[in-house]
Amino acid sequence: MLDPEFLKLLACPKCKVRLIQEDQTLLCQECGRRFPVRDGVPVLLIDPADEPLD
Amino acid sequence: MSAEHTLKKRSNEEFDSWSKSYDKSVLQWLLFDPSHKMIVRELGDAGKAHILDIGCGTGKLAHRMITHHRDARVFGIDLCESMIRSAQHHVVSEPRIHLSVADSEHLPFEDATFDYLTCSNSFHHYPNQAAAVKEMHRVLKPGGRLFITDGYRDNLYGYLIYDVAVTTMEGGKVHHLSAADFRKVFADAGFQDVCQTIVRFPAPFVLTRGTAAEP
Repeated sequence: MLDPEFLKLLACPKCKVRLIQEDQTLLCQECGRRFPVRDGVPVLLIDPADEPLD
Repeated sequence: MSAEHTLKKRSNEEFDSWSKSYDKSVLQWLLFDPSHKMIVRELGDAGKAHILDIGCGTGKLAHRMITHHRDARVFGIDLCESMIRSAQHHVVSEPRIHLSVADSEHLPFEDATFDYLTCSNSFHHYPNQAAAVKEMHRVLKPGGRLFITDGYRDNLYGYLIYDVAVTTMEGGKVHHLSAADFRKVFADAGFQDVCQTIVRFPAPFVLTRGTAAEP
């Protein structure tokens, strides 16, 4: 589990809304993206493959 | 994949291979240590501040900040997961340092979250520098302060180091801003009271600081 003080500051890098921890992932309820928490470290990257083409 | 994503991917791969020897690099005492010391001094009495360190690398600055400001919380982000893994070793006994893998242009925080934001010697790797500084402004509380140090390239010595040597070594994919351009991107992002300190020796660098205005 992430430190609750840490979790409450984290937001989706795309939507900038708070994330919910579910198992080893952080879920954005706005866009549905799930971000992994690997060895206690959240990996909060937007996959370029998910982005619409310019 | 866009040019910008390719750039970020390449820089990530480079830091991945560099993360193991990074702390022993000559750059530590030439450039990183002096700029970290200056940033820690600039923080003054940080109290219980929330501090975000962008491009935290192996966590040296985060560690130095928490050592001097025991009641603060320091959040470190880096695009390169290997760097964050190295940082975990440095800060394992520091429950007030929180690390994540994230992109400086897409900060994973709500608006107005931090009291201080630091970014030491990584800014020249960012493909969209103006966008990154705007994003920094977004996550700072009004009145929060931003400190960026990066190589100073406005005299011959700095030009030869950063614009010639470093840029050649990095295959042309880094960009050191002039001191004037730093002031401009700060002002354009909404920072006030922007001022700078230039250190000329042993490795020249410029510290630019500004205060976040109301959005």
